[in-house]
Amino acid sequence: MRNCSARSEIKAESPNFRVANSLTRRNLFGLLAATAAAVAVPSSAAFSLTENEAKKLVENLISIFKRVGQSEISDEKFIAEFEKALGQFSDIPIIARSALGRPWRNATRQQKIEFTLVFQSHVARKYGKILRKFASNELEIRSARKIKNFVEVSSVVRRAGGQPIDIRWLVSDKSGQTKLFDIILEGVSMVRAERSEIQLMLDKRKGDIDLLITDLGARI
Amino acid sequence: MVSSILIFARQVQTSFAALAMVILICAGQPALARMNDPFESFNRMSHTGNLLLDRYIAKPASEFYGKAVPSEVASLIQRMSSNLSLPRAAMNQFLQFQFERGVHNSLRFFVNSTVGLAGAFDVAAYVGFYEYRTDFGATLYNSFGLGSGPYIELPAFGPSNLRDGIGLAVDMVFNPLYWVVPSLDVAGVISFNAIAAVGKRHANATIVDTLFYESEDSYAQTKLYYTQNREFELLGGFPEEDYMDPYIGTGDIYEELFGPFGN
Repeated sequence: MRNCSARSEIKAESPNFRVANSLTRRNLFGLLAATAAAVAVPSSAAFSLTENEAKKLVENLISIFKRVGQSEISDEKFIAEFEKALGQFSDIPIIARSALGRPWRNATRQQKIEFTLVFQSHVARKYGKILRKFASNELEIRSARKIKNFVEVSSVVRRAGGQPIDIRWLVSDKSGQTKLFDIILEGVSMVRAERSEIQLMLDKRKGDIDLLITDLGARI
Repeated sequence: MVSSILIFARQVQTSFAALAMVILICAGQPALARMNDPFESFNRMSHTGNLLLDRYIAKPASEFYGKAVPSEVASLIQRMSSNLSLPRAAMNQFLQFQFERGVHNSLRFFVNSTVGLAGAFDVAAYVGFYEYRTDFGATLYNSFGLGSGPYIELPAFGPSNLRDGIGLAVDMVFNPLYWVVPSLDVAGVISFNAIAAVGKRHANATIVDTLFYESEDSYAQTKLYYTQNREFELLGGFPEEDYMDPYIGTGDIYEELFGPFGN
């Protein structure tokens, strides 16, 4: 813990903000393009997502995931591809907002954008590494069901010599587009885990969102 | 003579009292492990110890294992160790009145121990007989309705809670494996499982390393992962009201990020 705070002090001094900034430039266009259509549609649109539409989205994501995950590329390359797929298929801004929690309301727009971008890379790195080993042909979609305002798509990785692994994908069209907003691996929700992680980080930095962005950016 | 009986009676009494207390603590808890953490300071100490154990023993051992043992052999060892846990799982399934799963696991054990050469090959999986894991903690929950009790991080054994910690101890003392295959040597099985555990640490290196060494607070993340995973395991999924909907609440996020449409 002592190490951590020492590290962040150094970082606050160092030109680490450039990391976040170059990230911003690199990814902003992608994020903008991906969400342009979403902006055009009023987000209060009535719930109309069907199980099959949600399944289709997850099927597409899984097929990319399998193709890239099984190829011989390095983990670094895989993470980059995974991040691209996440940007395309998932609702990163909503996950980022949920992870930041209450402080999101008081953040400036610049902070919101920077945090969203850094968060996207952070999630891609962390979960890309964890999920890659499930990118096998044994990963298959089993079922989908409506829950509250969204759809849960269940998939399973069957393997010899162990219990099948349960991976669930939560899909919503509340943003105006059909998007993935959580991955639940054996009951562990990515959104919940990140809420805890990000809010702890913010607490330790006494609520300083800029410092959080810098430190999260430095982990990438 | 009389005094020794009295002492024995008192011992029985105290152990009953302890058991009653455990049941009281666990029963007061909701079935779900939404955990308060009254033992946090102990748990954090234990976590620090576990991190040291991992950093200086388990992690280097698993890295060596990863280099020294070909992956085919590693998964063979994994399967054999997992096979040894089947009688225990089956017994607990019978105690949970899940007869189908109990029979399923018993058959798995029989087939894989014989045709599968002591579990080296998971023959049963090829005909769709995958593993159903369970333990005495789950029996305490399913058959006796015991809640989790407070969260506990056990030294060396890692994240648990009062109920599942007791479950772990019971499972270790009453392992039906030795009744089914009396020729097995306890020490041999334990050391074999220890080797398999090192292999497991290697197989799960990314997730363990992420949790332990790349989290802001590895104690908090470990607790969260364990708690959610355990709930999920016991309930076979989550009830609807447990799902969070991040879309509920505040305004249009895209407008927040990019300004009103048209600007």
